[in-house]
Amino acid sequence: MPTFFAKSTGETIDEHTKKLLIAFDILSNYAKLTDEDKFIIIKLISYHDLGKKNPEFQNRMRKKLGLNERFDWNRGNVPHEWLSPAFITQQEEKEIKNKLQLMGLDIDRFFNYFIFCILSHHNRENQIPDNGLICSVVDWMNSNFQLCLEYYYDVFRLLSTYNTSENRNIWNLFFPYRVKWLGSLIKSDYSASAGIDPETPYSGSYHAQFNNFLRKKGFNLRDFQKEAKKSSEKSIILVASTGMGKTEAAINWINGQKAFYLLGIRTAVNAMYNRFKNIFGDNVTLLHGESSYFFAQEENNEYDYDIRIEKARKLSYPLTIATADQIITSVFKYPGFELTYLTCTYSKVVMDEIQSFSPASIAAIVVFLKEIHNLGGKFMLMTATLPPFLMEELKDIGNIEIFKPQLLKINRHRIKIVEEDICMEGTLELIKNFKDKKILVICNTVSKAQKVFKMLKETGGYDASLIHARFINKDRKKKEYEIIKANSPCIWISTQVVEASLDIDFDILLTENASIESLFQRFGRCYRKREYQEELPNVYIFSSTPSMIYDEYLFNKTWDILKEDYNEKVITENDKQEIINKIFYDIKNTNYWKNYKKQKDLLEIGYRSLSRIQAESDFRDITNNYLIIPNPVYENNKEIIDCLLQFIDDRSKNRMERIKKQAEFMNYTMPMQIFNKQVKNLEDINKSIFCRKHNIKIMKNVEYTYELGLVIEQLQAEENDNII
Amino acid sequence: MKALMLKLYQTLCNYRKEGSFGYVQTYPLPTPSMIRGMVHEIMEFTEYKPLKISIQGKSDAVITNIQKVFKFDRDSNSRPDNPYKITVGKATKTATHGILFIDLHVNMQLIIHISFREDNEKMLNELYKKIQEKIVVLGRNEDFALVEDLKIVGLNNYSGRSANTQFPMYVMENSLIEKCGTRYRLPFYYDTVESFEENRVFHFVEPYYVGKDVPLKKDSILQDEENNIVCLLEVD
Repeated sequence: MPTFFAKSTGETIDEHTKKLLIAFDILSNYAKLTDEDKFIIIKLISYHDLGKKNPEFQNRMRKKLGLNERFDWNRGNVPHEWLSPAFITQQEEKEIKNKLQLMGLDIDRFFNYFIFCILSHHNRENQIPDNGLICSVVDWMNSNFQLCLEYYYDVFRLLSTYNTSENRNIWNLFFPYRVKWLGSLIKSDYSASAGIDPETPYSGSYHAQFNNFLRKKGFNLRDFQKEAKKSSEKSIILVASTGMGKTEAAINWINGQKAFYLLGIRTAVNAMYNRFKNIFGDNVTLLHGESSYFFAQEENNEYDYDIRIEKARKLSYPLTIATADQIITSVFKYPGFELTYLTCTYSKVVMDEIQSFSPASIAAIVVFLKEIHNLGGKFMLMTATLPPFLMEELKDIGNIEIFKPQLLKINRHRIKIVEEDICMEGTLELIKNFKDKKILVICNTVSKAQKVFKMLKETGGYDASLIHARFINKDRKKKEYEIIKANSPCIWISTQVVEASLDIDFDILLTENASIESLFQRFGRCYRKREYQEELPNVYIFSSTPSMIYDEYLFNKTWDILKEDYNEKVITENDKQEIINKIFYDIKNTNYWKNYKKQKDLLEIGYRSLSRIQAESDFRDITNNYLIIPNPVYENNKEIIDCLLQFIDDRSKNRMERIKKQAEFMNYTMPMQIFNKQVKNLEDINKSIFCRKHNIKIMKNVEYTYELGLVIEQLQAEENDNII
Repeated sequence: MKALMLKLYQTLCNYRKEGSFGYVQTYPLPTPSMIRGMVHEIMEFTEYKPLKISIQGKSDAVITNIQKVFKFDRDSNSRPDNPYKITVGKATKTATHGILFIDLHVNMQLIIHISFREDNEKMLNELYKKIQEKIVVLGRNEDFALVEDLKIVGLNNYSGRSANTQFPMYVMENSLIEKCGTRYRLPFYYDTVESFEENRVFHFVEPYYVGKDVPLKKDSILQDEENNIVCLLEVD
């Protein structure tokens, strides 16, 4: 018998299978599997790669390993997993079927599903099986390796029957098994191939570390935070004001189990990661689109770096702080989604600030949470405000605890409605009254923010600062740092980018009208935890026209209700909940609801994304399809940028160094959604491979300054007005 | 168990769907009732003998043709100008003609297994003999069939590793691993009637019409000596 290789490292099929079995042994301590499930999964693991014994695959391995001897086969390649089920003998088929019978399952259907799991542990959606070719490989192996394989199944039919989600009966019946069986197989395979453990045990004591942290800070847990621990075997919905200690409640609820903490944006993830890392040390990882750059700055050793990346991506850390899209996108069932689902069935998922997502994303989140809840996972939904329709959706799913809202008792905001555009003389007059205060101005669009900035600077002569999404990463980071450290007196002008995640506290807020949930987020940036007792309002809301990102109905209703009932009055935390309930009371005809419903229906009738990348754009409403470098930035930093790119594209250089340079290079870019008309302004950068791969372009015909950010001509700005 | 295996060939034929008039549609395969009628005609039975029937086969295409038809019209009193008068039983009707569109299978190849519930072997032998003496008609009156093969075979449990349909076929739901195909409500036989006025009370089977290579449950199907899959349809 010749040696059969499984990997180009020279690892044999037997060795590889053994590694998987060890990995599964670890995994089975975490995942909730019955003995029968384990039996089935072990069988799956033992068969999954046997098809690699085919001559074409072995010839390729031998070529890579530099071995000269080749098998006499030149009729083409059959993906190995399509051959693996041929190794199941009739005797073993009987054994498996007996087990299936013990589980009370339809043996013929589930045996077919068993084969399907082997067939689909790789994704080959663009290949069509050739039964004749498969038969001839099987015959060739039988006569050359003295095996008795049989091609008794039909690859095409099995894949097309069980991989489609349109037939909801079949899909729903097999879904739990798909997650358990295929998920375990994929997770064991990936982690064995990457050389990591599928799950990392918690090192140290969770509770000791947490208590230690509390003691050091002198915190005493509030009642609801203690309550969270008692409900740690249930899912939880928690409505609480900012500053009530939601995070501590979540930590207490997690109670030492494996958990994911999901947030909306990267900055928030980074901040939360640092908070968790302070408490739980190396048990925590972060995971978002740029986590590879983040790790590259922390690790010097290439091996350690790889392990950390792999462990984070394969979800094997005890605690993962991630952007929601890293986990939730699996609800679009892209090939390989089973890994995420399996992991979530034995984990706790904390979803923070759900109201800050778009309605379509909220729908995806709700469907995901419901599905993992049904499979035995637990979630905690934390938010400052919860639209009533979400409560309606989730309250009846069983084993769920709905906490009574935890609201700050102090009054923080007195509002005033200003029926005037924010970019008018009135604003200047108003600002004059607050000479020594920290003032925050929030506009709905970048172009408006830039206009207000110019007005304040040129007409008013104020020394203001501006922050929005149209800054290159380097400037944006610097500005974020500055706004957090800002001291009175100062004026900051911004867009929604400050709504979430940035821990800032201003004295006076001037904002354009917006949709209610967004408006309350903005309130949170003013008198964050302080009590406001003066008679003069500290929040001024200016009239505005609804732009593309806000639903017109909600936008106008917000304005009407605030104007009618709360103008020049104090808004308590209870009032806020009431306002939310009022505004969302009858939303069935709004676009907000329609977008939510559309996405939810789509998922429930079985929509699947073709790839993970597509799933990411399905999850978000806005996709930033390009990373751009404004031309002035490029011209000013030409030498540095060219030098960085040269280093990055040079494959002979040290990999870690290259990744670090990539991170450095990214500082000069900004993500942006580019429409048809503007593409003509884009230009490639020096034929760099890296830039082509990541869609990085130079943008011509624009201005860029550190003060203003990117300024696009008026005509183009209009069609870009939905960018915050 | 024994059964008669019958391989038939028809160049053009129509297995009429009941209730399709101006445009005569066809079933994808002959219904059990048609086979039952064929057998009873050949055997010259005057009352229903319980049967089990397995039907599979394929045609190259279905085409649409125009056909001239002669048909009954109203009674002579309401059609005084019509010279064609026909008497059936006690009723006298006028006749008329016209055209209709009709679906035709091209190059139909059928494999049919027939087995009787009572006196099986004796009946099969007789049928075997009589088929060779008579002209086999299946479908419309003009749809003669060429008997390509005729054999009395034994039916056994399926012995292979996995079972798939070899041709498009009628199969019962319990034989399918995953539900697929089209469910038909097919007539099987009707209770004996005394005259044309009496309603025919039909008994139906509800099999699925499935394509080639559909996986079947091994335990619920049979296999003949030539390794044809057999899925017997029957009514109580």
